[in-house]
Amino acid sequence: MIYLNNSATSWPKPQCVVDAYTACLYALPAGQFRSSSDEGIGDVIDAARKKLAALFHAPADGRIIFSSGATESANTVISGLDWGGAHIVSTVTEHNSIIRPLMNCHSAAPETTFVPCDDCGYVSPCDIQAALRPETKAIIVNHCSNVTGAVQNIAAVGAVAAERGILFIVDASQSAGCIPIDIQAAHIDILIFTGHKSLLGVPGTGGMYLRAGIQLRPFKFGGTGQNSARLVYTPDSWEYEPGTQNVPGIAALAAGIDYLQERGISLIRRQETALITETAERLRRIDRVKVYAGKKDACGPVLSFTIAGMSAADAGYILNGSYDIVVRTGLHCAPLMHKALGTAPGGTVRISISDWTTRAETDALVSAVEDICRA
Amino acid sequence: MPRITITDCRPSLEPCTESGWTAWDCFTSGPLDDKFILSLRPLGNFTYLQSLARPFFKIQTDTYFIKGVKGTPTFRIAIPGEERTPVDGLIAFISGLR
Repeated sequence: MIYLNNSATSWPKPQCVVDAYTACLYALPAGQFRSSSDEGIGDVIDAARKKLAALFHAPADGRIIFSSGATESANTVISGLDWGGAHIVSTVTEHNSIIRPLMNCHSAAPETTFVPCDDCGYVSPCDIQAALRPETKAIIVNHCSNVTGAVQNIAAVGAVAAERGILFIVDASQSAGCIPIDIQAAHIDILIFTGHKSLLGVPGTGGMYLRAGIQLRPFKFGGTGQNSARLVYTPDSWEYEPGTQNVPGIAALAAGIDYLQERGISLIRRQETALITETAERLRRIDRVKVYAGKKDACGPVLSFTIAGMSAADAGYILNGSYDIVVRTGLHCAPLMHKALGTAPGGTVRISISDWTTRAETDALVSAVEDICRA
Repeated sequence: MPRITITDCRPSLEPCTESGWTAWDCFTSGPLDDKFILSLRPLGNFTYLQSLARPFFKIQTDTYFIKGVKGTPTFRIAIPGEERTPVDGLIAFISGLR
């Protein structure tokens, strides 16, 4: 079986991730102030916070908050900010983990302008700037498209946001771990990430970076292991990690970051970019195939394609059933982007590679697509 | 060769994969062969891509489609709505075809 669905979740995981998760389950439960024991893995959560902060170049006074993943983080951010009739600028490249919270916000739903993208999935920072209004409170940008792999120029957008005093929120679900991110250089106020994709952790992990001074009203309250006598919070005391934390998952995430730091994200990016852009070029040469992919200087490990005369669902079914190649088909939870690309309602076939994907595997994909187009 | 029978039918684990259609995955008593696949021809517009590594077939109508891969013990039925009744009707019809 050839696995080309790493944008859904990365597989396989490094052995150190498996080992860290397993060791955590074997070790004496400790940590998060809930145990009388301070042995074993008590510092695993704080250690993981520090590793994430270093990975993202977060300022020392920023906060790394763990969650079950990018969706929970996005909901915490969007439902937790006091919008007060404000306006948001976002992009059509967003995932439903952003779009749906925006459109179903419990509080007064903010009016959102979704800035269009080009045929590759790029959004112009100038278009984002042009969409700003006096009442715009936040810009939300998907760093790397989960459909085409287009990587947005977040440094340019962040500069605009900083100049105008607007919150800059970046969804790094597809980029964290495979594309370098510098929170300070890009003026990012809130960074949303998931743990189980390019950060190589397990599903059920993720989190967000919050710049110091940003207050989000939590939508979840509960035990935190700290100050149990406090029943009512004030905004300056809000806590964001209620309930027992996913310590094995966080330990695995920390191990994934160790792996990435040791191997080097820049090296991983170079190799993945070379493989995905070469694959895009080879697919483009096949009659009936149309490729939707980022450009070499700004792409992630993802691309999409369609085959004229065949639904994306059928192409994916054939790749899986006839060639043992796992891909993802449909709208990829990014309906606005497919509408913009002209690929709705059937969507595209998406392939997404990882550090483990080999040239032989992409050769097999290209050969299978050639077969399908000849059939 | 024993006759291939449909042993089970469950909602697809990938509910959004067929873009607007509700997919059900049917399981058979053995790998699908040409006899089974060709018996489905009367059910609609029939496509059979036999040159693939494992041949793919599809029967398309306005109200359902059926697709699968030769040599695998499963095929998919998809309908526009979420009611199971039409799927059961199709399974009964397919079971009586041969």
